[in-house]
Amino acid sequence: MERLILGIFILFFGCFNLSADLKSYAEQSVAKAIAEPARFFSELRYDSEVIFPVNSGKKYTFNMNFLPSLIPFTYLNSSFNYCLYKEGKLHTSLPQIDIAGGFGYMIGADILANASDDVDSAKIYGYHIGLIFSDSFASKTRIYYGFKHSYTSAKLDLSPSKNHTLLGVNVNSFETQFSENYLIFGVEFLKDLNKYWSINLSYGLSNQSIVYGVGWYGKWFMMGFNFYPEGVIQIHPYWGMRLGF
Amino acid sequence: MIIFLLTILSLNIFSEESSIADKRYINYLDISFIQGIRKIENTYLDSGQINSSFGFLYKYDDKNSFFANISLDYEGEPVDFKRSINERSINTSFTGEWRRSVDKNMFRFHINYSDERFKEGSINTFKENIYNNTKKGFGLNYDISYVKDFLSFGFLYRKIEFPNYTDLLNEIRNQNYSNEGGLYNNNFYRFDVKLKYLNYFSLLAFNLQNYTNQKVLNNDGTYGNDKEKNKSYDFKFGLEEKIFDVDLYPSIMITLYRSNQNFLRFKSVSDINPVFVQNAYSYNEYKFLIPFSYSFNNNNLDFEFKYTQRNYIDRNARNSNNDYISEKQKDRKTSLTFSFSRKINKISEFVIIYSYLFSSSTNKYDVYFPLNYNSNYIAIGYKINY
Repeated sequence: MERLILGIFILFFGCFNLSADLKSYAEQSVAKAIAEPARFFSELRYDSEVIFPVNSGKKYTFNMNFLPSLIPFTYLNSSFNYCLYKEGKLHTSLPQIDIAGGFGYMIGADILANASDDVDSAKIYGYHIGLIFSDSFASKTRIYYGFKHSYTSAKLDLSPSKNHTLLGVNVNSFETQFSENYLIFGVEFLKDLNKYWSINLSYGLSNQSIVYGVGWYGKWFMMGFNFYPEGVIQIHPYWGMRLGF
Repeated sequence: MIIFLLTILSLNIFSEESSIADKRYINYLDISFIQGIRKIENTYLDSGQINSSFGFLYKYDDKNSFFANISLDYEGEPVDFKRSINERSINTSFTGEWRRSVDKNMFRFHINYSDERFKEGSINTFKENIYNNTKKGFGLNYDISYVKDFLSFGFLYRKIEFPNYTDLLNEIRNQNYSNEGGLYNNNFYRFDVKLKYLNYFSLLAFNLQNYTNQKVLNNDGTYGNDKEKNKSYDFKFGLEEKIFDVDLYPSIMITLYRSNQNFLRFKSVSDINPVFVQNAYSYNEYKFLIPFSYSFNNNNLDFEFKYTQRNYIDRNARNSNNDYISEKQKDRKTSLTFSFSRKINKISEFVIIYSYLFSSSTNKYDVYFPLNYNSNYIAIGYKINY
């Protein structure tokens, strides 16, 4: 039910914004993206960086984000969360320890470079690696916390013989990197057999990036919303595969 | 970095064993995420808000306990802004407190470190803003309890440093002026007395802010020998009442703020006849607050009415042309906030918020700091409290 309400409100917010002043809003967004392109592409890839702890009884999870990382942002992506230590195995006070890692490569950039005369070359990719600790906190509730390093590289060479503009904003060639070290804190609830609900907060120590999310995941899939209050696109609905073994 | 280290150090306190088996640790977490849209006149702005606190209370023995709290708060383009409608802020802080029981009373000593960062607009960063500051300090409290009533005495000290704050006026006038920051550094002291008796609660506080570098401006545009000093007196009185199933907490707060700093109004960079305003920042502020709360099943309805009036003592208002008029500046803000929340499970809830703010002032010069506007805000969010 809460998923439905949240979806309706996000749709409502979208319409609210679009009807307000679409051109001005789009120009601001483009200017923000052009100011820090690698940061913008990092935001587009962030939804594929899965930080949920490995389920109790599973050794690892294999994840792939379909929406929005693969479609429409064309990131070929995959991530892997491996449980190094199960909670309580050696000592009851030691939390579960997972290592998380993954990558994303934007094939759309290569396609654009091959198809367009304006773009000489484009290469956009990134990876993440982190450690996630999780603890039973109360009945059917785990908290998780940890650290994640995220890196994105974005390179675009535009044809020097032309002027390039997008919604009135000049676009130039760039080669930039964006790396962020996130502190993560989240809570996971077991709603039913193989049905989880989670809420989490990530705070970047290097660039004060903020991401918070609410997600639902089960035996096969995960879905939810990530919020980027300082981002170009503030709300990302997502859907992907999350398989536990 | 301090947050990361403290988080790692506090890992084991979240274990179920320590909180349930021996009851020496009591953990808590409090997180709320709000994402909304704010409309000021004809401008729409995305506005997010995060409040998060994680901590624990460790009971060493019957008399001594230790409390630690880490918090991260973010406010993006707030409804009731301080300096600019586009200002965003991130505040991270750590507080460690030692509590010692003395009979039925309690002595508390805390240390605090906080880092507050601001960002103007969406493209800038949180690193270079002139209002970025760090606060370090300690506090002492003595709480006297009697059944449900209590009396508390408190003292608080903070050393506040602004590494980027510089003298813009001097930078414009003097090209050789070296920007070393720290102009706004100050020492903050607060003494307060709180009393709760029956259904009534009250607060009396004295705040003192001594600036270590900032000097008082003279009418010729030079700085004098006196350093800036701000004082304020706060008085709050309120009532907790339950009428049928509705909880209400009406309160009134009066603040008398006095500053020895003056102001020189330049209409432009080339203005050769600036207007001098003595004690430009001193004011009296009156705040009325009436919050209601009604719970039914797993739902909660909250309504809050707030009215604030700030009367400047020596500062005259300006017309829309930036000229001073004979009337003194008076700022008024009225806000109505309605929220509905529904519990999802034992520790989390989903919330919808609507807020309306009407701001008006005798000062009609709104170029740098809007005072005459109305604002609508609608938001959704989640709250977790354990």
